[in-house]
Amino acid sequence: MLTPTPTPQQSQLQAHRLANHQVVQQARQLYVQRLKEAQARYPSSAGFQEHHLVPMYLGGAKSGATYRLPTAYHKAITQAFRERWAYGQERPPPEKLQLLLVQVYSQYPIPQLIGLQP
Amino acid sequence: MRETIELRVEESEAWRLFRDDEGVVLPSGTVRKVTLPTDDERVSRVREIDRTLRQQGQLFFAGWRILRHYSARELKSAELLKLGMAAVFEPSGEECGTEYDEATACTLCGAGARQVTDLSLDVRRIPQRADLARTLSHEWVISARLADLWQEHGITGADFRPIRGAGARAEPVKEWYQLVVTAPPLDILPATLTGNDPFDLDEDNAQRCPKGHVVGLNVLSELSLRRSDYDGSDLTWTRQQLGMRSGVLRPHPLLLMSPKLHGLLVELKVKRLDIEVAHLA
Repeated sequence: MLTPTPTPQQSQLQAHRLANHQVVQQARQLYVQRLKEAQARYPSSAGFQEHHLVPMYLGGAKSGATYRLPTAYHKAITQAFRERWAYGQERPPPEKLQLLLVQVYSQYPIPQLIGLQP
Repeated sequence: MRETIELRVEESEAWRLFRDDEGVVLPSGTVRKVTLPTDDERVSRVREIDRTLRQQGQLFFAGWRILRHYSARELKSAELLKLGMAAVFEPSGEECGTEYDEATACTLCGAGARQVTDLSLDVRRIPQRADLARTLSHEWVISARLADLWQEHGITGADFRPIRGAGARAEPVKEWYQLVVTAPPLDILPATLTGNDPFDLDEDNAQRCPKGHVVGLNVLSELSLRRSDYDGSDLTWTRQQLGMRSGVLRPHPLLLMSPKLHGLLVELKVKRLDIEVAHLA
């Protein structure tokens, strides 16, 4: 009676929480790794820069959501976008833009969105 | 004319279609740039693979570009040529204080907002080695050097307007002008293929204006234009626009030029241009 068997719904919720926790932990490890790589690639890029979540060259609004990122990490994200979608190319259609954002941010997580301070 | 397509393929998925030694892996190590002749049998499989991966929320390729390579003879015999500017910069005019009257724009596609002030730009951001460049919003700029030469050679269809530095009291700059077209526009004919990319022709017309202002996100073929619209100007433009209103991006017409203007740009070694043959019909 002190440790009752969880209902199926409770078990499902617990499994979801565990999975989400694992995803966040993996993203945090990836951020730390990518940050190190970026700092090695851009050793003279100290400080922080504001990063538009949807880059303006892809049609993001100037007033759109921004995140303060280490400059080297910001440069690495910018490179990841521009290698996939060249600067000055007409913007992608909405569906492709969404996939592009997912692709880049799955490789370069935004620290604030996974509970880290940059 | 020889036509190739450049694709920016996810390196983790490139194996589905390409050998390990094909293309160039870009510096991040996660994207491969592959260029194929458009008649390569694998081009048709790109769509198939991309669709399969998209259903799983993944990309096979993101960016793309069709490159058309012409012989000198083909360029010389063209009646009209598309003039694209590869030198692109920001901030755009809107970000530097240029005002547009959005009330004149189409409420459906956003095309047609009238510029109501001189173009204001941070001119330090204009690529200095280019004589022709554009902002992300497709505001065209021309160096004073080139503008003088155009006038000297009697190039028609163009006008040069002052550009001011960013800030309310900025004076006109001496080194650059805004390039504007004074010639009447030409209709893009239906023979011109437009769409989201070479594998997605926007069959549901999501990126086309029902009123006909915007004919799609991109032109995918050489341009076919209405001959009777052409008044013989050296610089002219299309009536219909391309692109999308989104952030600072605006729908924009395409620039066209005569063989005379093309010859002058070649002679002056003007760099960073994308030139294609356009057809009058």
